[in-house]
Amino acid sequence: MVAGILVSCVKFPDPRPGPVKPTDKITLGDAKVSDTFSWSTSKSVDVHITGLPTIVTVKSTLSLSLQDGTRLYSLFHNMSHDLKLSIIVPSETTNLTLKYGSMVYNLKVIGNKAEFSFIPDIPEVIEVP
Amino acid sequence: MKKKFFSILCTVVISSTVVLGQSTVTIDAETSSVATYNANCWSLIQQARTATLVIGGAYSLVNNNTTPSLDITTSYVKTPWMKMGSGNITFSARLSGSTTGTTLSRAIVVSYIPYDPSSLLPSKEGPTTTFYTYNFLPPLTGTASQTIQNLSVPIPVEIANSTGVYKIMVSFLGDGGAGRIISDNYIFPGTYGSDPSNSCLPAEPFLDADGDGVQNNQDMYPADASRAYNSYYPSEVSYGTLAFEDNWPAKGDYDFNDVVVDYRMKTVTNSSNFVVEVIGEFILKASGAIFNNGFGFQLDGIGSDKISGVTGNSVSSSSPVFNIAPNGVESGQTYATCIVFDNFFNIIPRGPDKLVNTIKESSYIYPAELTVNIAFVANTVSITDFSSLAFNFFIVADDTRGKEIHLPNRLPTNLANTSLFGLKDDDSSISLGKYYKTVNNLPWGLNIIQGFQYPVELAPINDAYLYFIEWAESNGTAKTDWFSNMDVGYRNQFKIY
Repeated sequence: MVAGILVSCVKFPDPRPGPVKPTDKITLGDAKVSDTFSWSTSKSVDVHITGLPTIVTVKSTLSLSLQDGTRLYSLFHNMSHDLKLSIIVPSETTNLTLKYGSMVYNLKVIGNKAEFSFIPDIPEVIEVP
Repeated sequence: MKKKFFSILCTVVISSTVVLGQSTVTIDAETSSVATYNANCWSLIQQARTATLVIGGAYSLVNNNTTPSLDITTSYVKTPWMKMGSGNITFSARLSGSTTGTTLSRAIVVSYIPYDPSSLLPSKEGPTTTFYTYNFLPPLTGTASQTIQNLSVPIPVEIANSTGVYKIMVSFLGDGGAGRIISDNYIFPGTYGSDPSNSCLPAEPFLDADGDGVQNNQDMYPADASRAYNSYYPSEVSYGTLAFEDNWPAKGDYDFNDVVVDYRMKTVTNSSNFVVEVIGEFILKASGAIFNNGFGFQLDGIGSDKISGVTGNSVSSSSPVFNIAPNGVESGQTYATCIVFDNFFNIIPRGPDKLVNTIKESSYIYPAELTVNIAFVANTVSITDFSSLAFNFFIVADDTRGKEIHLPNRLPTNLANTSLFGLKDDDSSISLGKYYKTVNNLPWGLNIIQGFQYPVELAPINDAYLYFIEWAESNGTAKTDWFSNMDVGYRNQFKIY
């Protein structure tokens, strides 16, 4: 009889309990959110591509994809021209894949920028024979 | 005009991707680095530019292998693929005159290399055939050896004016000593035939069925000259999710399910990179709202006059809320504004609980899809001026046009009632550039470009996604996978629809 009373005093458990909240006491109203927070799971990346002075006019398809191959952006591009554009990618994106013609390049996303040059980044030494 | 990058005497379009046809291909070392020449499909191997003992202009080429070699593949200047003309290859050379060590010989060897598509080499180069050798005559050292030699080498008859493509390789050989060979002013009769966008292989025959300048195998619309490419937001294979609260300017219950729409935007461009149309795919998933809410988006920075037509949206011609212009965008807007639907419940009627898909115990209503086509006035908006940032999504709450609710810090349209800014819980401030946030910066809308499952009715999003607040308080740096991680502790599945 005593046991029965005790059981009846226990708050009836939630029939569908969820996992323990890591921030159990905090509600949205209590959250301290920065003025600068974008509430976004994505980020804008400014892509800057430096052209190569070519012997002849070279035009081909330039595409930008996520590293898993998901295509975001395509256009017809003159290899000699510089190109600036902005794309929106998942905030965790650290690399983009740039494809030009049959050439495939990896672009590192640093902050909100990704840069690429068709001119090879090889320092030139002027020889004195 | 001795020095210019490359002489272009005539131009013939063989491929849209590479405009071919110089009657000579030249190199004089003047206007770019060795690396840039190589990116243009030259092969300058063990070659550098020098400003000393130049033959012409400010720079000449010089072999920079420190040990002379009798191997023709050690140090050379090799052309891109060429369709050879006839006549003579001409160039100039001199010795550096170094007296270090014992110089036994110096020579220049000229060879040709045919294209061999069956070759296992990435370059597809066939066997090398040497057809000319020049041996420098003594003295090989000292000032007297520095005399400029002007060389003229006949193109072999078997490759002159041939239909095949070839490379010409000029090799620099030597035995003993430290002297270099300086060279300059190369002129190769023929036409440039490499494609720098295709690993420098020979330019392929050009097939372009619709004549728009984009060859068929790159054209996403090979039979439509007005279209060439697709770009996507958030991606080609996925949808983003927009989730709104509709009680603005008062806070709501933060279940972010008053309007839930998945979206994917496809921007179609032509071969000149102008936007032809934007095709928006919208999946109406849920509305846990008492209000009748509309939904649309502004194309920030794109004038309303840049749009020629809008089809596929759902706006009643007798709508008391929205006034649509003849070109399909909303009237009275500076920037093109497309109303996707004027009332969620006109497309998916309220369920028995008066809501749509926010209470698990209620029957599931299959989402509706709208595909909206926004046609642009031809050749007015370049894709490079039209980023996905232009898509400024919003809802219009409670059949009240001015109650326009955007994602945080996105600008209102002309028809938003800005007198509501700062009322109740809203802390928008035009002067501060703060829009659609509360005083402690909470939003009324979320855009999860990866897509997400929204909370059930009356469940604040932080009760469903247990790291939502940690993510927000970290300024988005912690728990960035709060919406996608299925691990224990990340979510309360019972509070997610």
